[in-house]
Amino acid sequence: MASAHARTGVVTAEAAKRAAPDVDAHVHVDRLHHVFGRGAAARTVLGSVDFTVARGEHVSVVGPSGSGKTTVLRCVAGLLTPTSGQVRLDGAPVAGPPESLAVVFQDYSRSLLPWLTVRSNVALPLRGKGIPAPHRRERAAEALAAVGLKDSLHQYPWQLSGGMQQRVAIARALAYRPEVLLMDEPFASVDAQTRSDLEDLVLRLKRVYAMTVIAVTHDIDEAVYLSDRVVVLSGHPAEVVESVPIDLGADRDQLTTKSDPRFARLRARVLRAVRH
Amino acid sequence: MRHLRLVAQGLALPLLLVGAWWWVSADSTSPYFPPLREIVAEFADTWLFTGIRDVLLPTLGTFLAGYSIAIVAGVVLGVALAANDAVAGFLAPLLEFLRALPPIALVPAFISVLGLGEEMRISAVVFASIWPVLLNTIDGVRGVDVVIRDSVTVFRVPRAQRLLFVTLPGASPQIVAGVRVGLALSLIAVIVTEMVTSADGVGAFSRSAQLSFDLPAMWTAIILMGFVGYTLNLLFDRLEKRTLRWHLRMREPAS
Repeated sequence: MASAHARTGVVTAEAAKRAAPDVDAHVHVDRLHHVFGRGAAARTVLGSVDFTVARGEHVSVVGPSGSGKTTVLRCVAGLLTPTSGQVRLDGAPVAGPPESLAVVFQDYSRSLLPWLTVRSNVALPLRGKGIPAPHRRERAAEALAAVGLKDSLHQYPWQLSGGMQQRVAIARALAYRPEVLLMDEPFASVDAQTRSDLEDLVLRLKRVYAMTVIAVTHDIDEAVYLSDRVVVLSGHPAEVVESVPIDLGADRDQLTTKSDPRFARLRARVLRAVRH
Repeated sequence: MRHLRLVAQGLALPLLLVGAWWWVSADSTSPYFPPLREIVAEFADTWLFTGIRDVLLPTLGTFLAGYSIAIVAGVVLGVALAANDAVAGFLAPLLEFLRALPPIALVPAFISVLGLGEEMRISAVVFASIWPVLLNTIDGVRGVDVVIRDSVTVFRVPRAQRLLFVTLPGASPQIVAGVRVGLALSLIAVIVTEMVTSADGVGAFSRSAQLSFDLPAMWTAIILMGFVGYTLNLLFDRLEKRTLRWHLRMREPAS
């Protein structure tokens, strides 16, 4: 097929996608279609959602609430089997939570275990990896230090502020050393100051830990500020309406990046796509 | 200082009531309500310490055996049923019926099937106390937050660790509440079965004292069981505070 196009010299975008399977796609969300419920109550949430994420890329998925962003994320995490279509991780279809993937959930107060200390919370996922206890504790302490919580090891999550709890959730994901990090509205439940602190924390961590990141958010500023690319979901059922590369470079900070005219242009472009 | 005041406050009413009992009953000639003085003398005679060994220990043995079987079986079955919606749904009406059945109503049936021995009494205690443990365990396990469940699923926490570090602790507030209800029901069951089987034990002792018009002895058994129940509840409170510390402190208003 590729040779046929080469002969005629006409390559449509659609054909190009088919002809050149994303060899370097780390995550491929492939024609994801999902229907909740059955019969009269059936509700099609995802039409055919299709996008890829390269290794090491940070992609934000934005869209109006109810647009199925979280459904996409749950399919990538292996928590939900789509009605049709699939998610491929390094080419292998996802069936159940992949070993190399971690999630930061929106609701930190519900995703952390209140009966375990901060360190035990971070160390718990390492039990399945066959890591001996002293190493688990060490790795948990390291990850907590990386998010600025080295003094809270022995506290319980509910003794910490919301922002600190979300840091614990991030540390839990980091200690797991995932290749893919998913974040579901990670900063939606914290105050504005904490939110920009956490955004900068994520930027910093991205440089230290080489991870592919997919974040779902309804906050367009945050999506543009943090990502290498923003994927816009829209419509009922949802489709990808636009994929906006964010060419703001790797060095970003709250003041200069957010007042950069390019930031404003990209922000406007994403916003238009969301409202489309 | 503050501690002392609390202790004094806690003891004030019991001391007052005992004093009143002592004073009112001092000149009592009613055979049904002997003077407290006599009861106390009888108590020392009867229970210190041969009575505790020969009568109270068998009662506590039956209680402990039945109660611990009920807790272990109730939690194990509860976890299993909570994991299996179809079976749990199928069994739900039966479980609710058995729970609603006053456990003592089944004692005659237990006697005809199992006889008058220790197995019968232990079975009656198990039957009395297993339902709240079982049903609360099912509820508790199901009530573990979905976000917590998603988290441990995503992080591939293995099954055994999941049960130990996630499911059981998550369900523990409800399990403990069921176990507490079971405590009271177990004590009732052990005393009643002893009364109807005239075994060794406090229930049988009190019943036979009553039948032979030894009413001071009967009263001592009642007082003894009061102390036993009170002590067990106190121990339970301790245990609850320890195991559910996170749960209790989480609910305190933030400082």
